[in-house]
Amino acid sequence: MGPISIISEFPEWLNLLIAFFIGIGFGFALEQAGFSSSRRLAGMFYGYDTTVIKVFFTAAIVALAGSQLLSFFGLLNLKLVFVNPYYVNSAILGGIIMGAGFIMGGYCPGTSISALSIGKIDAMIFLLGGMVGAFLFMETYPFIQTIAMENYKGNMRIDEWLGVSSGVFTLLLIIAAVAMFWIAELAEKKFNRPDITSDI
Amino acid sequence: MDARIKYSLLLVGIGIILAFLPFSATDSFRLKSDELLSKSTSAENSLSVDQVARMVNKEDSTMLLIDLREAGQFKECNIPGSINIPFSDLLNPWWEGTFNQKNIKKIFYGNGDQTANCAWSIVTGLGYQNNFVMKGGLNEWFKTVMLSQFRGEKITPLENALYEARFNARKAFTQINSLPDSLKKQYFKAKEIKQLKLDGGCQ
Amino acid sequence: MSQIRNLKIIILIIGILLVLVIIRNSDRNVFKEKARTAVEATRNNSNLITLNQLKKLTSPYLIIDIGSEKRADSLQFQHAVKIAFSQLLDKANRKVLDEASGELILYADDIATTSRAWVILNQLGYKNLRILTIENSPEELKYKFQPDTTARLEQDTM
Repeated sequence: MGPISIISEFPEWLNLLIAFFIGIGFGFALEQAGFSSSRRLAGMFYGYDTTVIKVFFTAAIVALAGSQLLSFFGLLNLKLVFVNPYYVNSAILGGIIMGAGFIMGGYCPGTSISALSIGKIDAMIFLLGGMVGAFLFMETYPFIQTIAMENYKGNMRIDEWLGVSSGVFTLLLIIAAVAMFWIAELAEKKFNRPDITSDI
Repeated sequence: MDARIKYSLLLVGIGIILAFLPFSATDSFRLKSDELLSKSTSAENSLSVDQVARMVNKEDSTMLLIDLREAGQFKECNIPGSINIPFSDLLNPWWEGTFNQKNIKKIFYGNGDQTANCAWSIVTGLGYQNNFVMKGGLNEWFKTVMLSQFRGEKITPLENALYEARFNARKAFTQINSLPDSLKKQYFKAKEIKQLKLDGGCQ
Repeated sequence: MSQIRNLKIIILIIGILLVLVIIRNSDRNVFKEKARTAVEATRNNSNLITLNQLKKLTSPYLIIDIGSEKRADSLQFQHAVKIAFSQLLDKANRKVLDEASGELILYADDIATTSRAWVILNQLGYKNLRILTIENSPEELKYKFQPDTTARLEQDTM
C-alpha cells in the first residue's frame, strides 16, 4: 500500500500483511476465472477461448482508470509508482522466448503457480522448467549482457512518448480494449473447437 | 442488456471523464494552499547560519545541504558536504530519490534568500517533508562564519562556543574548498555514488 | 425506456464521479498549476522587479505589502494594500488579488517571505506576479573566496 498517501503511515508489517491478502485475492481471481486450465490458456493462441485477453485487459484498464482517478483526488502519489526501465532488445527477445514457452507449455509463470495449487502435475514440471531457465540465464548472463543492455530508453511511459495527457491515453486504451474484446468474440465464433471447450 | 456491454459503457464513460480532467494532479503540488501557507509562516524551517555551521562541524549525517546555484559557482566554493542541484534542474526526476528521504533534513541555500525559499516552497508543496532553508544564504555565511570576529574585552561562555563553532566551520570551509581540482573530484565522486544508490527499483 | 432502466446504474456511477470531479476542481485551495511554471518563471530573474524598474513601469500595478514593520529602513508605499502573510488566502484577500488589474507586486522586508508567497500565488494561477527587491541583484555573491594555497605537511591537510 506504499503509494496511497493518506494511509502512508502504516507500519511495515501491516503493509506486508495487506500485500499478502491482495496476493490471496489475485490467486483466487485467477483460479476462479479458470486460468488453471492449460487448454484455456493455450486457447488464446489458437482462438477458441479468449478469456485470457478479456480478464487481463479488463484488469489493466480498471487499474489504469482507478489509479488515475485516485491520483486526481490526491489519494495516490503516482510519482512513487515504479516505472520499469525500458530495454528494447531485452523486451523483444524476452517476449519471443516467453511467448513460445507459453504456447508450448500452456502456462505462464503466474498461472502455473495457481494450477500447482490445485495439484496439477504438468504445472509442477512447468515451474521446474521455469526455474531451470532462470538458473541458465544467471549462469550465461555475462555472455548475453551486452545484447540485453542495449537500446536503453529510460523509464518510458506511452503517454509521454505519444505526447498526450494521461487521461486521454486512458480513454484511448479503454476504447482499444473494448474493440479487442469485440474482435475476440468474433474469433471465438470463427475458431470454435467444441471438442476442447466442452472439456475445459 | 448484456452485462458485457454495460461494463464496456461504464468503462468508456469513466475514460471520457478522465480524458477531460481539468488539471493533472501528478505535475502539481500535493499540498493544499492553506497547508503550504501554514508551513511557510512557521519559523521552524528557517535555520540560522550558526546552526548550519554547528551541523557541518559535527558532520551530522541526518542533514543534507543542497546548493541551488549553477555548477560554476558551486565549483568555486560551497559549504562542505553539500550537493549541487541548480534551481533550473530542481524538478528533474533524478532528484526525486534525494527529496523523498523523510529522515534526512534537507537544507536549501543559495547566494541570498530568494532562490532558497522558492525551492523550499516548491519541494514542500510537492509533498516532500523535512525541508529547511539557511537564512541569508552564502552571503550571510561569509559575513558571519568566515569574516566575523569577536570584538570586546570579556567573552561569555556562550559567545565563546559560538565563535569556536564559527572558527571550526571556517577552517573546514577553507580547507575543502582549497583542495586542488583533482581531489575535489574524488570527493564529489563519492557523493555521486551515494546518490546513485538512491535511484531505487529492480536494476 | 427499458434500455434507459438498464443503464440506470451506469448513469448513476458516472454522475457521482462527475460531481466529485467538479467539486474537486472548484476547491479553491487545490493547486492546479504544474510545478514547472514556478521554476520557469524565475528564469533570468524575470519574476523580480527593482525599485528603479518600478518607477519606470507604465502599466497599471498593485503593490501588496505582506509584512513590513514601521522601521526606518523599510519602505512604505502610498497605495499599497497591506495583507498579513498568514492571512494571504482569506476570502476577502483572495477577492482583492482576483480583482487587481495589471501587475501584482509583492513586497516584504524579508525577501524570504515574498519568495514563499510568490510560489504559493504563482501555483494558484495568478499571472503577472513580481517580487519587489530593494537591491538590484539579491542572488549575487558579494564575497570572493580566497583559497588557502599555503604548502603544508601532508598530515595537516584533509
